[in-house]
Amino acid sequence: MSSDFSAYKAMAFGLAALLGVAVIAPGVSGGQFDMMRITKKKPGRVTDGGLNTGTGSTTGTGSTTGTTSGGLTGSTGGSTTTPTGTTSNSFYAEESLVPTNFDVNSELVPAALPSSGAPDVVGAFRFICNAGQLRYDDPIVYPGQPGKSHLHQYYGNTSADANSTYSSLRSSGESTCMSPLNRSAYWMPALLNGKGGVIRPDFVAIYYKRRPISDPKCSLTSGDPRAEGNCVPLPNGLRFVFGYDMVTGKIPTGFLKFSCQGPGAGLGEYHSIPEAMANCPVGAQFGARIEAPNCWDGKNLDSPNHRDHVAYGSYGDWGYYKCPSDHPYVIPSFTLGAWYSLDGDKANYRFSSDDMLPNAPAGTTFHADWFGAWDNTVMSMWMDNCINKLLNCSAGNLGNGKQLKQYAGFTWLASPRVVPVPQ
Amino acid sequence: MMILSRAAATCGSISLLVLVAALASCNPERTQANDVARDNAERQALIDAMKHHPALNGDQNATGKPIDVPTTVPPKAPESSGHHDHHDQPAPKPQS
Repeated sequence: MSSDFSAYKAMAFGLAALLGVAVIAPGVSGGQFDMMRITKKKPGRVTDGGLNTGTGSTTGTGSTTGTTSGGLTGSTGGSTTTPTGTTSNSFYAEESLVPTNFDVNSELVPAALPSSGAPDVVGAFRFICNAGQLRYDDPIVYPGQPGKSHLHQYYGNTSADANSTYSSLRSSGESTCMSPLNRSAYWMPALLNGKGGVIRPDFVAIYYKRRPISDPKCSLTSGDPRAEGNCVPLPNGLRFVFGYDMVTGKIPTGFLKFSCQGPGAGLGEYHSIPEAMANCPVGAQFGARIEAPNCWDGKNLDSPNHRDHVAYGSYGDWGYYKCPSDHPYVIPSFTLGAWYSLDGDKANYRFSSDDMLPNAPAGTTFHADWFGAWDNTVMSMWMDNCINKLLNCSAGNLGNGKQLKQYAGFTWLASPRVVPVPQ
Repeated sequence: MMILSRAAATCGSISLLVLVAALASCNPERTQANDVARDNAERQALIDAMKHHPALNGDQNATGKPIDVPTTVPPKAPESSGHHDHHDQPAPKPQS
C-alpha cells in the first residue's frame, strides 16, 4: 500500500516537474546547451582575438580567424551522440573538433568501483596525474616563442610546448593524466629549491566539478531567480591563465592556498610557501592548490591578457552565487593540487615566477595555465554521467561503468624528485 | 515490520542528513579547519580510489602504454634574457 502510494506520488512529482519545465522553459534554456553539441559537418568558427599569430597559430580543419557566432539562440534536437569528423557547435564559440587518432575504446576498461552519489550540489570527475615535462615555454602567453617564459612544470600532454595549439594537442602526445584521452595541457611555475634544482611534484590531483544541467541554477531561463548562469560543456580550444597576474599584480584569482599532508602536518591553509613550510616537516608533503575559473563569456576562447574571457562566480552584493552578467556561461571548473615531498632545503623553496617579485613571500606569484584538449567522446561521458547525474567519480571513473586506463609507469613519488637546472 | 523498521532507519538517516545540512546552513561562515578537513577527505578518497584502479593492482588489460616523460630541464633559449616571463610590460605592482 505504502509502496503504491509512493509510486503515485513519484508519478505526480514527475508529471509536475515535466509540466513545470514546459511552462517555465518553453524555449531553449541555458542548461540545454550541454546537450546541444551538434554533429553537423560545418567549418568551425572561433575567435582568439588574433592572439595566436605566431608559429603557434591553429591549423587543421577549422578557420582561426573571424568572429564568433555570438548569438546564442536557436534550437536543435538535443543529442550527445558521439561526435565524429569535423564538428562544430553553433550555440557558442569553439574550434572545430579534432577527433582522437586512435581507438578510444582501447583506453577504457570496466570500472573497478561504482560511482557514488555526490554529497554535494555539484557532480565531480577526479583523477591524478604525474609530473610531466619542464620547459621555458608557454603556448598561451608566448605562442611560437620557445624559451621565452619562466620555467614551467607541465602535466597532461607530454608534447605540450611553445608551439602547441588545440589541433596539435589533440593530435599528438601521451598524457601524464592517466590516458591520452586527456591530451589537455596543464602547467604552473616550477618549484625551485634555491640550490639550482627543480622539485618535481609527486602527483597532482585534478577535480572537475559543476552543477548538473537539470539544476534550475544551471539555466538563466529556468525561472530560478538565483540561477548561476547557463551551463555549457568546455568548448573545444578554450585556454586561459589564472592565479597571480604577473602583469598587473592585482589580487590573484584562483583561491590560491598552500597546505600540508602526512606525518606531523599542520591542519591549516597558508598563503605563502614560508608559512606552509613552517607547518610542514620533512617527511610530509607540501600542497599547492588553485581553482580554475568557472564562468565564460561564450564568445572568446582566449583574450589579450588570457584571462578576461573567463571569470569567477561570486556572491557580490546581490546575495547569491552567480557568474558575472558578461560571463553568463557556467563551465565545469577544475581544481589543481600539486603535492611535493619535502627535504632539508624546504626553507628555500620558491616558484620560478617568484623571481619576478623578489620582495614578496615565496609562493605569491602562484598561477597556472590550461589548454583544453579532451577527447570529446570521453568528455561527454564524464559530463553526461559524473556531472549531469550528480555523481562522485574518482580515479578516471566515467560514471557509466567505464574507467580510463592508467598509463604504465605511474608512481606515487616523483622519480627523480630533484633535477638540476642548467645554468 | 521489517519494512517499517527499514523505512524508519532510512528516514532517520535522511533526517540526520537534513539536520546536518540545516546546521551547516545555520553557520554560513565556514571555518578554515572545516575546509582543510573537507579537502583532506576528498583528496584521500581520490587516492584510495586510485589505489583500487586495476592497473595499480597488476591488471595488464587496464594498463596503458608506458609514456616517455623527459625529466631534464632544457637550457633556456640563448636570446631570452630570463627576465621577461609573462611580462615584457612594466614591473608588477606590489600586492595590496
